[in-house]
Amino acid sequence: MPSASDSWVSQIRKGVVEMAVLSLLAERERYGSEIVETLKSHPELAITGGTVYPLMARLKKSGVIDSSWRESPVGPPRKYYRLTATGRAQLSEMASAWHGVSKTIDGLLKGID
Amino acid sequence: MSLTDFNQLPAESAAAVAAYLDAVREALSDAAPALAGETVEDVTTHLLEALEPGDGINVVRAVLAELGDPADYAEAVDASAAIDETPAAIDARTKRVLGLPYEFRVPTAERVASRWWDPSNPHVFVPRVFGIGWDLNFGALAVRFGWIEPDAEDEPFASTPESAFMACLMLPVALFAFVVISYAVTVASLPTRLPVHWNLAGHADNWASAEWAFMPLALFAGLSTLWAAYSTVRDRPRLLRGAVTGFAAFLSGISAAVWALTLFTVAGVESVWLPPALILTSAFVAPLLVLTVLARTGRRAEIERDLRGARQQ
Repeated sequence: MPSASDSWVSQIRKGVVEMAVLSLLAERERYGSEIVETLKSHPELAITGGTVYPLMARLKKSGVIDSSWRESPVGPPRKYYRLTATGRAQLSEMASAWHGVSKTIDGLLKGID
Repeated sequence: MSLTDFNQLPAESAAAVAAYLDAVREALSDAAPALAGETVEDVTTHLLEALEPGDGINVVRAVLAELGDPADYAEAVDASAAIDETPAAIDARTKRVLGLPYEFRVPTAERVASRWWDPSNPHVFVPRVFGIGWDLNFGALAVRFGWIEPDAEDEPFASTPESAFMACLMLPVALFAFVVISYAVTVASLPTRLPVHWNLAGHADNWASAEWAFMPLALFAGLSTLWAAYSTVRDRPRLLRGAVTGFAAFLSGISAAVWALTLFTVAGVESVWLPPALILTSAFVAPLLVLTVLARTGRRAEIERDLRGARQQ
């Protein structure tokens, strides 16, 4: 039954993209294509530019992240994104919820391949 | 103990449930039919499980209150779906007939504008906002050509200076002027019948009087240019102004191309590639040029603003 589990997996991915983006920005500020490339290097997330850029626009609009153009050491200026205070608070809430859920599920899944 | 059917409830309770489901359906009328159907189904299943036969109106109200306002619920569902920009998800939201996407709800001008210029969406062909088939997302094209980053502007054209809007308006104005002036200059020496249609080989295969060959082209170019000028004067929303200017460049471009083709044919210049080259170039290049210039100047204004801000700190 590939269809049922596929849609379940894509639901999970959809739910965690935002958390993944916010955690990348919690580490340090990054520019758009850097975020896309870093997320792409984790194929299990199956994230593309088409998913990330609309998400960044939405996160900026809701005040979770902020952006500004900065000179780049190489080439033209780049638009860098960073977490706002709201974003940090949201990420830590998300992280604690995630750890709680994943710990419980891992426990329930014990013994299942 | 759960329900199998809402008829197992007293009439008043059943009516409250029906009203709630209607409100959810209504609030989701703008969402994709598949999503709306699925959501209403989810709510229905939840209510069947949560309620018991004979539950009175107060129990039903409490259960419904837990679900929240139907409009908020629908909005939350819609927002989570909006994040999903994978081709499969876009596909699922699109209504189709014979494999072609269609949409016949009259769109808001802003929605049309955001389809034509959406650099954050990598899809060049996007389902039509009105009608059957696809629209061209010039934003995706500009990104593919490397002319702009997908996230270069926070809001399309929000920082674009007025001077850039005026400069871009000059393109449809110039194309319209070309049609009118070249007609005025050549009309005395033009034959009474002018070519207005060309076959695939590039030969003229239909003719009309000079007035009929000229007037529709002048009208297309003139009215669309007037619309663009009007939206600039009236200071309409930025993205809308850009889209209208791009649209005027598109129509004026086609008009100028067809008129140039007429003059070429009259002068004895005919070729297989001339009609498609002229029309495609003007139809696609003119709006792409306008929208890209608006975005690039907006991007530059954002960069200057941010770099200046950084230096002052």
